[in-house]
Amino acid sequence: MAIVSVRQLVKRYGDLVALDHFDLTVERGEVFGLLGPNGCGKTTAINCMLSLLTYDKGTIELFGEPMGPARYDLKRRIGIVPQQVAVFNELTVEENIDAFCSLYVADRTRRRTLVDRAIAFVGLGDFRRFRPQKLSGGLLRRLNIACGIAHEPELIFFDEPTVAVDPQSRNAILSGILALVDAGATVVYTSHYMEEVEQICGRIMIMDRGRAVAEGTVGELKGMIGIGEKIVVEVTDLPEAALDAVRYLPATVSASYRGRELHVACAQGESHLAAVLEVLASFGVAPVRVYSEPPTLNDVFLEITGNELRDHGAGDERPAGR
Amino acid sequence: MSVLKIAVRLVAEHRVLFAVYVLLFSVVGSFAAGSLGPVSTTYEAVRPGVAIIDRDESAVSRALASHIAAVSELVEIEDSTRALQEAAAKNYADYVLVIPAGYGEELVAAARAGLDAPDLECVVSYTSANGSLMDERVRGYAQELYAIAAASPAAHAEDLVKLVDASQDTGVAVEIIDTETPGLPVTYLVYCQFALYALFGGVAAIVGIGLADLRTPEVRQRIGATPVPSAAFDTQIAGAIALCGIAVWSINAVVGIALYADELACVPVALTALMLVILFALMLVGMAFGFLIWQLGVRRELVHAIANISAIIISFLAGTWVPLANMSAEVLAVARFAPGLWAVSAMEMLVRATSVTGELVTSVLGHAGIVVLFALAIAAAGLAVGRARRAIA
Repeated sequence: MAIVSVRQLVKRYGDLVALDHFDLTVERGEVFGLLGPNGCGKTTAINCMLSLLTYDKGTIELFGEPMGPARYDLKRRIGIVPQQVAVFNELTVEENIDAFCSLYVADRTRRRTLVDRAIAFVGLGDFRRFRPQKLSGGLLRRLNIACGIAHEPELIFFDEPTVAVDPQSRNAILSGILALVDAGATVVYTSHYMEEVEQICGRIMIMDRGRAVAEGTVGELKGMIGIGEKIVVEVTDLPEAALDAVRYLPATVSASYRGRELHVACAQGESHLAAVLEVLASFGVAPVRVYSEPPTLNDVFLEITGNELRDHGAGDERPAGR
Repeated sequence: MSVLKIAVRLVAEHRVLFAVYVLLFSVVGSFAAGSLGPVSTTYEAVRPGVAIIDRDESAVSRALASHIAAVSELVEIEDSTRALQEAAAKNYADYVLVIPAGYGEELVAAARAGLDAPDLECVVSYTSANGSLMDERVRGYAQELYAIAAASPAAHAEDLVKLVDASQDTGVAVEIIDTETPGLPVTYLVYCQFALYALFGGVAAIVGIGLADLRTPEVRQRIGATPVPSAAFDTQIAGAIALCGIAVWSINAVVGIALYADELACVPVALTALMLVILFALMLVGMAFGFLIWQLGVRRELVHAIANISAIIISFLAGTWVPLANMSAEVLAVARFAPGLWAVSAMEMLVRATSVTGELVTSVLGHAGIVVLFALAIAAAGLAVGRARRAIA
C-alpha cells in the first residue's frame, strides 16, 4: 500500500514554478530517497505533503487519504526532522523531547515511556539534563531527530538530517533510521550526501527544476546512464598516441590523463578493463596500479542533473511555518 | 503539554527578567517616591542661604541686610574677590549680595534727582530658584526705598528706612486645609509612574525574549506539522502573553500595595482599585507591544534594546522623568499620541481627588479606555505583521 501518493503537484511562487507536475509514490516500510540540487523543490515538496504550504494543482494522499491542513488525524501519524535544528534553547534534552511529543501524545505516563525510548534510541541518555547550547553539532542533530520521532510516527520525513555532522554521529543517525524502518516506519529522506542515500534508501528519486527526472533503485538508476564502468590506470608516463588509442576504443565514453592517472569511462555492458590494458601494452606503457569500479550515485546525479553550478536562492529550502 | 504549557515553561526559564524588569523597577520607583520625603501637615517657608557683603555700612544698607536676614539663613563669606568667586563657583549660598560703598546715599540722592538707582552686585545660585526669589525681594525693597525717598525730599535715611520696613510684608499666610477624603498619596503616584517602565518595557521584553523560540521558522515548521490546529496555536500564544502581562501586573501591584499599605489604608479602596485599573490598561499596551516584537521575530539581543528604549520614551512622554507641567507645548502635543500621558493624567486625577465621585470614575475609566485603544492598535499591528510574514513564508 502506498503511504505517500502525490499526483501532478504544481506549486508556483509567482513566475517561479517550484514543483512542476510532480509525482511521488512511497510504499509502506521503505526508505525513499529524494535527491536534487539546491532549489530543485525537495523541501517544497515535503512542506506541501505536510500541508505547511498550499499548492496550485494536484493531489496529495497520505495513508490512502487526502491530506489537508485540518487532517490532524493524519498529522498525528507523521514525524518530521527538519533540515535546521528546531528545538527550544531554554529546555533540556529531556524537556525538549517531551515538549514536542506532548503535541501528539496527551497522556503523561505514556509520554514518559516514549521520551525515554527516544532518548535511548538516539543515544542521548548521558545528556538528558543538558541544554542544546551545551551539545555538540552531532548530539544536537540527534536531539533534533528524537524530537521528531518520539511519538513513534508511521511516516517520517528526514530533511537533510546529517548536515554538518561528524562521521560517527552520521553513522549513528543512519543506523537509527534503518532501525526505525525495521520497527515499521516509512521514511522519506532528502540529502546531498550520495553515499548516505545509496547506503540506506531502497528507492531514490532525482528531482530537478521541480520535476522527477529519474526514479528507481540504486542499480536501476546506475543503469540509466551511459557509463557502466570507470577504469583508473596509474602510469609513470603516457604517450599522447596511447591516450588517443584508448579514446578510439568502441566502449570508451571518455578518457583523460591527469596527475599520472588515466581515467577511462566505459559504456554499459561487460568489463572493458582487458581492452584498455591491451592498448596500453601495445604502446609499451606498464601500469603501476589498476582498478575498475562501477559508477557511483554521484555520477548518476551529475549526469542526470548536469555539472553546472546552481543555487536557486534559499526560498525553496526555507522551512515553512504557520 | 499544550503549546500554552510549553510557552509558560519557556517564559519561566527567564525568571531573571521578572527580577530585573519588575522587582528592580518597583524598587527604583519606591526610591524615587521616597526622595519626596514624608507629607507634612504644617507649612514652613523655605529659608535660603544668603551671604551679605556690606561695604556701605549706612542706615540704608543695614536696613536692607536686616530685611534679608529676617527671611534667610545668613552665610559668612570673606569680603575678597577670591572668596566671592569661590562662593559663586562652589555654590556656598543661594544668593550673594554685595552692597557697594556709598550705596545708601547714592540711592536717596538719585531718587530725589530723578536719576537711575545705583546698582547692587549679586550672585544667584544656579541650583535652585530660591536665589532668584531672594533677588526679587532685594530689588523690591530697594525700589520701594527709592520711591519713598523721591516722595519725601526732606526725610533722613533712618526715617525712610522705617517707612519702608513698615510697608514690607515679610510673609504670606499659609493654611493647611484637611480634605474630608484625601486622594491617593503622591508617593504612590510616583511608584505607579515608574511602574510604567515595568508594565510596558518589562512585559514587552519578557514576551519578546521568553517566547522567542516559539517564533523561529524551524520550530514553527515543526509545530505546523503537528496535530495542533493553527487557531489553537495562536490562541494559546495569546494566552501565554496574557499570563506574562498579568504576572508582571500582579507582582507590581502587590509590591506597591505592600510598600504603601499604611498610606493607602487612609484612602478609599476605590481609588486604589482605579489606580490598578490604569496600571492594568498600561500592562495591556506592554502585552501588545511584546506581541508586536514577537511577531517581528526580533533577535533576543535587540528585544532588550527595543523594549528599554521604547519604555524610556513612553515614560518620558508620561512625565515620569520630567513633570508634564515643565514640558513644552510641542512635547505635550507629541505625548498625546503615547499611552503614558493618558495613564499618568488619570493617576494624577486620583491623587487630586477629594472624594470618589461618578465623574472621577468616568474620567479615569475614560483615560484607561484610551490607553486600551493604544493596546488594541499595537496588537492589530502585530497581527498584520504576523499575516504579512505568513504570506511571505
